[in-house]
Parts: sequence; C-alpha cells; structure tokens
Amino acid sequence: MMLLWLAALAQAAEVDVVVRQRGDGLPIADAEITLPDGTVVATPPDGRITLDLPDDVPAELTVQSWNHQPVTVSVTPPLDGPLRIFLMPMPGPAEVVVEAFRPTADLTRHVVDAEMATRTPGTYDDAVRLVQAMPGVNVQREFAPNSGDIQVRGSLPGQSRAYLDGIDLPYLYHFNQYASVFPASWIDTIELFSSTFGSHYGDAVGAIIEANTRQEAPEEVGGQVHVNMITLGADITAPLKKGWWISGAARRSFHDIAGESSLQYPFWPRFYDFSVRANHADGPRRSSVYVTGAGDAYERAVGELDIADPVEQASSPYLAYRRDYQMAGGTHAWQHGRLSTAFVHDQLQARITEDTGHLLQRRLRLPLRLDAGADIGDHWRWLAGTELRPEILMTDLADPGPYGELVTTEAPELAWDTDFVGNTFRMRSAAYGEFHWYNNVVRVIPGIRLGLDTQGWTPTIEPRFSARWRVAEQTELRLATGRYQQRPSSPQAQILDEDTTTDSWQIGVGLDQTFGGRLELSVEGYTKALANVFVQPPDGVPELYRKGLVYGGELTLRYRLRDTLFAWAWISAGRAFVFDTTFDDRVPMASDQPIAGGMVLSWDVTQAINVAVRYRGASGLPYTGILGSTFDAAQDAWLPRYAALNGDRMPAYHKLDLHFGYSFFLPTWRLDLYADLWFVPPASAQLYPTWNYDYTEEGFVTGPVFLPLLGVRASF
Amino acid sequence: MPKLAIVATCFCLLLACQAPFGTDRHDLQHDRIVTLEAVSVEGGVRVWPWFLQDGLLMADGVQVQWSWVPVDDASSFSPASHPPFSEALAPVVSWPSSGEWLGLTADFPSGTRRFAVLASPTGAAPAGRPTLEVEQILDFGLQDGDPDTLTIEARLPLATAPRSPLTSGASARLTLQGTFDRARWMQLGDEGTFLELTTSTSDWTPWQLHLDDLEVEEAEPTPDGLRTFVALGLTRGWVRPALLDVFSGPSGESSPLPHGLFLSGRFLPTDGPPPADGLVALTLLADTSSNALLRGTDLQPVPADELDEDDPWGTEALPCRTPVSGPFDPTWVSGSRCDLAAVDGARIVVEVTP
Repeated sequence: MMLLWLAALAQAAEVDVVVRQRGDGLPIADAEITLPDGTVVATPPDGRITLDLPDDVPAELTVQSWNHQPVTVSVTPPLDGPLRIFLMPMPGPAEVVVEAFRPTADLTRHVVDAEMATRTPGTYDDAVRLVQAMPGVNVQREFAPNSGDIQVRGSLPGQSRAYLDGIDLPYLYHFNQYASVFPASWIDTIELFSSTFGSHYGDAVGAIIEANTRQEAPEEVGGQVHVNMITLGADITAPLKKGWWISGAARRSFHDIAGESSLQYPFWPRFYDFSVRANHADGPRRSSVYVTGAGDAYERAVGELDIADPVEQASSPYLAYRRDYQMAGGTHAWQHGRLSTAFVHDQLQARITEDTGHLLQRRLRLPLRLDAGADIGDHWRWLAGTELRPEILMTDLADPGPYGELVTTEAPELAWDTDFVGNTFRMRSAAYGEFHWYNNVVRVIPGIRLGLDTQGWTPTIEPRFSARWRVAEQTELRLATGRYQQRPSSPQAQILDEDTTTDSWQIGVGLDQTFGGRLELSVEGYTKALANVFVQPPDGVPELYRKGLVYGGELTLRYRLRDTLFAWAWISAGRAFVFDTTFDDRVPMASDQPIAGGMVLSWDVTQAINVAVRYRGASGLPYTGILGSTFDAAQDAWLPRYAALNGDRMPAYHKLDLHFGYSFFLPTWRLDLYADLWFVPPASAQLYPTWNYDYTEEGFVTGPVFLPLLGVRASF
Repeated sequence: MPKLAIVATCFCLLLACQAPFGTDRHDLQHDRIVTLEAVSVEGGVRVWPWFLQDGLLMADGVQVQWSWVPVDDASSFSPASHPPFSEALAPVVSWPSSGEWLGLTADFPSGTRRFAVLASPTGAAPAGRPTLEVEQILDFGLQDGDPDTLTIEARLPLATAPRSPLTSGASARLTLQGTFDRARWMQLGDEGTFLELTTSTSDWTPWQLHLDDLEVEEAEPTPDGLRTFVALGLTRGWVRPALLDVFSGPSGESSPLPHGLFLSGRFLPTDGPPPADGLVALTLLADTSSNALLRGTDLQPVPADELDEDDPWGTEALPCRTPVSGPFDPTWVSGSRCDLAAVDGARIVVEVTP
C-alpha cells in the first residue's frame, strides 16, 4: 500500500488545506495532519498548508490538535479549491477559580464576568444585571419600578456609584430596569464592592460597581448579532496593525418600531446604546479611546387612564420623557497605574404637556481619575490617586403642581414644589493614598481620602483601615473600617442649596475558608453608623434624618470550574433604619430587606448544551402606604393621605429562573439559542401597589407567573 | 408616586395586570363626601356638604368639623393638627387672605371618617343651579361589539331623541345645562357605565363595560329600572350639583316603575297612583330602602282655592338648617338643607304635571 502511495506520488497534485476552528472559523496553528504514508505535518499560524497528494487516488487525512477533537477526512485530488477542515474545540481543563484571598483593601469584592452573564438565567446576556444576584444586593422584583435600583447592604440607590473604566456613569439601566446602558460584549469583569471599600473610591456611603472593559487584542475579525424579545443588537471587533484594534456595538429596542402604542403610552418606550472604541496594546501599556452613549425615551399619560373617562383621557396631561448621554473618553494604563478621563454630556428632559411643568437638565462633566501604585521592597506597596470631577449643571425646573408626585419615578425634582432656572459650576476633587504592609500571613492597609467640594467649599476627611490575616492555608480573616462621606447630589445642591454631607462610619469583618482548594465559604458581618441621611418621601423634597443604622451579615458559598460550571449561593440578613433622635423613633429605609438569599448554578453539560437555574428570594421591601384621601371639592379629585414613611411592606418575593441554551457550531460561525423561563409564585407576583380613585382600596399590579423568554445570538 | 409607577413596567405591560377595584369613581356607594356646594350668601359663602351614607344622599347623623388648612397640609390635616373653627353642618365662611383652604372632617355614623378641602372660589358665583337633561341615543351600536363606537369621535355624531322612559336597554346622553367650566358625572348605585363626551355631556349605557383603551373587553347588560344621576358643575371653585331620576324600561301597564311622581327631577314613590295632574297633598315618610329616601302617603287632591295662603306648599315650617319655602324639593334632603328626620311625617302639597 505504501509503495502504491509512493508510486502514485509520481503524479501528485497540490492540495491547499485550511484548518480552522468550528464555531468561529479561527485558524488553528500546529494542527497535525497525518498523511496516508504516516507522515505528519503541522499547520503554521494561519492554519494553511499545501500538501502533495496523488492525483485521482482517495486519501485519508487525520487532523488533530491538542485542544480540538480529531477529524479524519477522505479526499480525492485534484480539488477545485482549498480543502477546509473544521475542528471542534474540546472543553478546556477543569480550572478551579478561587476569588477569595485577593489582597485588596476592600472588605468585600464580588466579581462577575461575561461567561457568568451569558450563562446565568434571568440576565438576558447582560452582565450588569447579574450584579443584582450577588450576595448583599437587595433582591428586586423583576420589571417593577425599582428593578434597577442598586441597594447593597442597606444602602439607598443614590448612595452608590457606578464606574466604567474609572468614569462615573450617568445612569446604569435603561428605564432603571431592563438592561444596562453599555454592551455586554465590552465587559471583561464587573466588580462589586459592597461596603467598607478601600480609599480609592469615595463620595459614596453605599457600594461601588466598577465595570472593566476587555483589554485582550482579538486575533481575527469577530462579532455578534443578537436578538431577544425586546432588543436587537450587533457588535464587531477587528484587529488593526501595530497593536491597535477597534470595536463597535449598537443595540436598540424594537417594540416602538413594531408599532406598539397605547393610550397610556402614545410613544412606546424605546432605548438604544452604542459604542465605538479603539484600543492599543504594547506590553503592559494599554490605551483606549472611545465614544459611547445611550438614550431612553417615551411619552406616557401622567394619570392612570384605565380609571379615567374618555374626556378625562383626552384632556389628561402627558409626560414626554427623554434621557440620554454621550461620553467621549480615553484610558491609558501602564504597569503602575491608570489614567482615565472623559467628556460626558448627560441630559434629562421631562415635560408635561400644555407646559404644565417641566424639568430640563443638562450636565457637562469632565472627570479625570488617576490611580497609581507600586511595590517598595518585599513587604510594602503604595497606592495613590486623585479624582477631579468638574461639572456644569444647567437646570430649568417649572413646578407642575399636583402632577409632580405622579412623575417622581422619572424626575423626582418635579415633586419638589419649586421653580428653578440656573446654571451651576461645581468641582468635586479628592486625593487618596494607602500603604500595604504585608508578609505571608498578614496584610495591613491604612489609607486616607481627602476631598473638597466647591458647593459650600466643604472638605471631607475619610480615614480607612483594613487588615487581612491568613490564619491557615485555606483560611483568611478580614477586617475593614473607616469613614465614608457623601456630598449632596448636584440637583439637591443646586435647586435646594443643600450642603449637608452624609456621613457613615463603617466596620466589617469577614472570614474566607476554602475546602479542598475548590469550595469557597465566606462569612461577613458589617455595620454602618450613619449621620445626615436623605430619604425621599413619596412627594416633596428629600427628608433629612439625623442618624441611621445599618447592620447585617452574609454567608456565601462559591464553586467554579472555568468554562464548565459555576455555582454560588448566599443568604443575608440585615436591617436599615434612619431616625432623628432615638432609635425608638426609627423609620425603615426603603432598602430595609431583613432576609435575602439565592443560588445560581450553571453547567455546560456538553459544549453545545448549557442548563442553568437561578433562585432569588427575599423579604418584601418597604413602601409608603396610603391611608385614604382628602377630597378636593373644587377639582372633584382626591389627594392621597400618606401613611408612615416606609411603614408598609411588599409581600415576600421568590423567583426561579431556568435557562436552557443550545449552541450550533457551524463552520465559521456559531449560533446560540437560549430560552429562559421565569417562575414567580402567584403570592410573589405583585410588582407595585396601586390605589382606587379615592385611595380607599389598595391593590397590586401583578406580573406574570410563568414567562418564557427566547433569544438568539450569532457570532463569528 | 402613589399609583403611577407604571412606566417602569413598560416592557412587561402586556403581561402585567391588575384586579379591578371594588368601586368605580362614578358609582355612589358606601360613605363618601360627594361634594362641597358653595353658595354665595350675604356675609360670605355658605358651604353645603353633600354626604353619601351607605349609598344614600343624606346628612343625618354626620358630625362635621371645619378648619382652615394651609395648602401644603391639605392632604394630611386633621382636627388635631388644625383646630376646627366650626362644627355647624353648613357654615358661612370667608376665606382668609393668607390662602388657606377650607378643610372638612366628617365623621359618619358608621364610624367612617372622611376629609375634604375647598379652595377659595374666585370670580362671581354662577347664577342658579344647573339642570340635567337626558335624551336617548338612537343607535349606540354597542350590541354590535364594535369597539370604535366608544371613542369620542365615534359617539359625537350619534343621533339622540327625547324619550321618557328610555327604551329598555337603551343608552342615554346626559347634558348639564348651566354656567360652569366642566361637569362631573355620577350615579347612585353601580349599574351601567359613563362615557364622557364633552365637558358638559356624557353618555351613559346600561351595560356594565370593562374597557381597555376604550375597547370593550366585556359587556354585561343590567336590568331596567330607575337610575339616579348626579352631575357636578365646576367652575373656579364654585361647585353646583344637579340630580335627575331617569327610568328605563317598558311604559304603560307592563312598566315595573312603582307608583310615584316626579318632583324637581327626582322620583317620589307613592302608596297609590297619583292623579294625572293638579295639586296633591301627601305625607312624607322616611324610607331608606330606596334612593328616594322618602315616599308619599295619604295622597289627597287639593283644590287650589283651599291652599293655605301663608304656606301653600306646607314647607315653610319644615325644621331645616336654613329656611326653605316653595314646592318641596327632594334635593333639600340630598343636599343637606334638611335632615331626613326633619321632613319625616311632614304634610305637604305638591303639583303633579303630566
């Protein structure tokens, strides 16, 4: 046979062979091709090789690669074109990922990445949504008005900050509920610092969310087109020369295009986001410049038209809402630091028809952030940085009278019973520094953060301290404490001339234990003593409470085999109150969720099949009920009489999400189909309370019990 | 944000739902402050509260406290926070120049407490009380299940004609005549559905409709009978109510309408058939089993020349809150001028018109 083969070679044909990976078409280097005579040749980096094969003689070629499934193909030269051979990638090694023991100054750091986002039920490919399934984050009712509120360890939504590569985001979720405002394809990791974080973050007494963009250069042009029941989007990444690459992404909801509208929503809600980015990598130096933006808009009746007459409906005022921002910025990172800056234009327009009232708010910002750090010898490390946040806020607020309290979801300032027109310049600046002293057992991190706000020229001084003690090989104790201060929001400062700093002394302790180097167990306890806490009532300006107290604990279990399985489960207990003088007069904060817990399990059964489950359950959050009404005889209308602030509570919430995904590995692209099924027990399906015409009857708008959601993603 | 956080569920709206509440705004049921009628009088404005007690328009037994309330406290005041200046049922008041609103705390015999406010009326008080008129809509089309028939544009051109009583199952067009900016519509009971047409006109159908964006999701007929409509004319803080009883159903021998006569648009049941016309003396008896609150007994025709010269209608001596005179008007009881107990047993004379 061998002799026949060799003889046949006398009349050989050249056959071009291209070896690529099934699913994305990437070339495979070092793939070994075994010829009929036993000769083995390897593909170069571009996966192309030319073989001499006998003419008109069937030949079997076996192709294998160390991380692909081998393939045997029969071929009879000559061929009209190149022979393309696609190898199915093999599952990666079962790499155990252990997140604990990261030596930062933060008491708590939770990390999610793109893999987790796409393989966790209920996130709809959105990494940021996954934050809301993290330990310590309040469980919110899906598609309720406050779905997008990030309440972490008893903090109120305005007390936390969200960053994208070091730059403050104007807002995190479209309509505060559905999807985050930047593409998931951008995201490498999202970090959540639940409380008592290090001195590199400030002007927040709640939590920090930091989204970090991908920094790895692509080898080939790649991209995705994805559609689900609400949005359609696409993104593309392409390498350029000399270490540069570019990426772009865009996404848009499509229900408004499909003609959806109603009396309540004559302009059906629509949102979009986009980004264009150029990156450069040169060893440890990485730079990027980007333009990104997002926008939300709709028009809705101010009142509830379902209970209105036709004439009332025809004369009902409408709220035209538009919110959008654009950012143009850049980052430069090197071995010892990172510099980030961006020009941010952010505007909010909330107009009530007939010019009954409006809020027109435009904000121009030019934040700049510098973080640097380096080791000093074998036991010391320093970190330092500065943050400058100049901004111009232009506001035109016309009080809409009684309509104000009906639009607080979109523009709380409209319920402040005031008019305001003016432009304000404000600069908030801060500098921080921290030292790490460490050896193999202990790490001690003192730090301090100093700030100055031109609103009242008020300084902030925030000493912080954390320590870690490696008690045993798989055991670590953590302690963090410090002062956290937050200046009033810009609308508060501008419109209400508010200059009160919210103050919080925090302390937390934690224990990390791994079992067998695989299963992680974390137990944490925390408390926050607050002063000067702003709480937003159902209408009117934010109320100032002199004191507040938050305390609680969390227990978390984590397990992860990269690219195969990840799971975590948690349970947390805590309370959050404000009060003026004594604790006996305490009022629950809107974030007071005594018990919360959940679990996530995602398993790639095969390369093509993923099944996952997520459960979240929690006590209902407080809300301010209504005890009846005052009848306004001149208008034949009813004014609600509010009960005690946050004195009522939503029913407990339970939600189970199931996820099934199937991937088709086509020669040069991959098709992912997924189906999510949510189940909310009927007793938990309440989204928000409503009242009848005179507020004497309370009911709830309820969401679906079962809801299937489908999605498709094609990537190349 | 008491009830309108719906924006955040926009992507879930098609799937979200809400169980309907028990009572519609138009349906006068249970205990309620129906309105505060402001009447310009010498020395100020007399404010007449209209109360609904267990579905009946009457003020008997309701305890009231009047306070001056800063506008910002309108939705939270109480007698404890704003001490009352009067406990009279219908005080004469002048609004203070500091801009406070008139606040009413009403304690019903059932134990229910209700609050109301009235801003200072401005401009001249409208002359006279508005009147309610009704016509039958000739081709409402609801039976065809055409959802467009319920839009304002579709209903405006519908032809109407006077009918009394209304044909069984027919819809009506109600018009409030008088000086006011806009009208508000209600009915005693909960049968039928209002569909407003203009600021002074509303259609009413005896069908119980469940609507979504003015599309009929469900329609159930209600039985024929007597309907009591209440309309409020609102203008610059002045509020003027009007009442009208309308019967729908067959007329003549097969009519289920009980014996009775119409007084100022209200139906007064009587123990026997009243004469076709002329003056009739009757005794009023309280009867809270019907919306009319009263029934006439012991009917006797009275020759005109036998009427009391000083009090021909028998109303001058009624122990009401303010003096009344002239032919008996059932709205005296509905509008708090007279307690039901005050007219119970009174012998009056009424004029029956064909």
